[in-house]
Amino acid sequence: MTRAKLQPGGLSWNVMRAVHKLRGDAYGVTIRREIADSTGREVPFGAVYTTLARLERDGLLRSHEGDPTPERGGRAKRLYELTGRGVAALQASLQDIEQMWASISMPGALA
Amino acid sequence: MRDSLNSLARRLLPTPEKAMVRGSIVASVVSGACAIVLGYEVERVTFATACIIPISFMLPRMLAFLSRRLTRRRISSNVPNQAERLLFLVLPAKDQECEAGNLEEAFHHVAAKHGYRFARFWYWIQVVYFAGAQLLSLTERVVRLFRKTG
Repeated sequence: MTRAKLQPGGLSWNVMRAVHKLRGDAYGVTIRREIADSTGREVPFGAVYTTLARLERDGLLRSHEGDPTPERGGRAKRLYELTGRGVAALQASLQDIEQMWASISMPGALA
Repeated sequence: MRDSLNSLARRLLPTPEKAMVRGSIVASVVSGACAIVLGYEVERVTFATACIIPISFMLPRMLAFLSRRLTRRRISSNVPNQAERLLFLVLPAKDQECEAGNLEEAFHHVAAKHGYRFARFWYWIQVVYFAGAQLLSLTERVVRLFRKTG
């Protein structure tokens, strides 16, 4: 099985990061809000939905149905969580970011 | 003013057939009265009748149009039905309820912030994005399938 590669800063990476951060309460609305809070960018629900579906198909996420709430018109939530592969992919992307920073030498930056 | 226009339009706006009959009767009566009182020639009476019929037919509609323009439409506090139907059409059955729920939850947040008119517009935009994203994903899958089969 090839290692799934996440591009840091991309939508897939942001979705994975949001799912990781929300732990147990990650569904469409909260994931989208988390991305908006951290990046300042409003992502359409359609984009979040297709990304989640793709990540789930790739085995980086798994989902299960949550409880319905009145503010959703009595409709159930689909809650997402990272799989083992997802955690590994996210860690690998963080290492990529660290390596990237390590290769940059900025004058006056922290040593 | 608006209410009186509304009620007048409602009273004057029957079905097109009824309006035509009513218009013809009014035209005949008016043109007949003109002919008797003023001693008009037959051609002029016919011309007047020809003018009055379309006017009497159009007037209720113009009033109705005017009253509609003057009346502010009440914006529903629910998600737009047609957009929701479109959403159900483009999504696979297993995702329909969850995604409709997500959009409905966010719809109420947007409405609380910007009002229902904007929220309904926003809902439509999201559904259009969903449709576009689904179309794109379908295209990608077809292209991948073609590449695999060579």
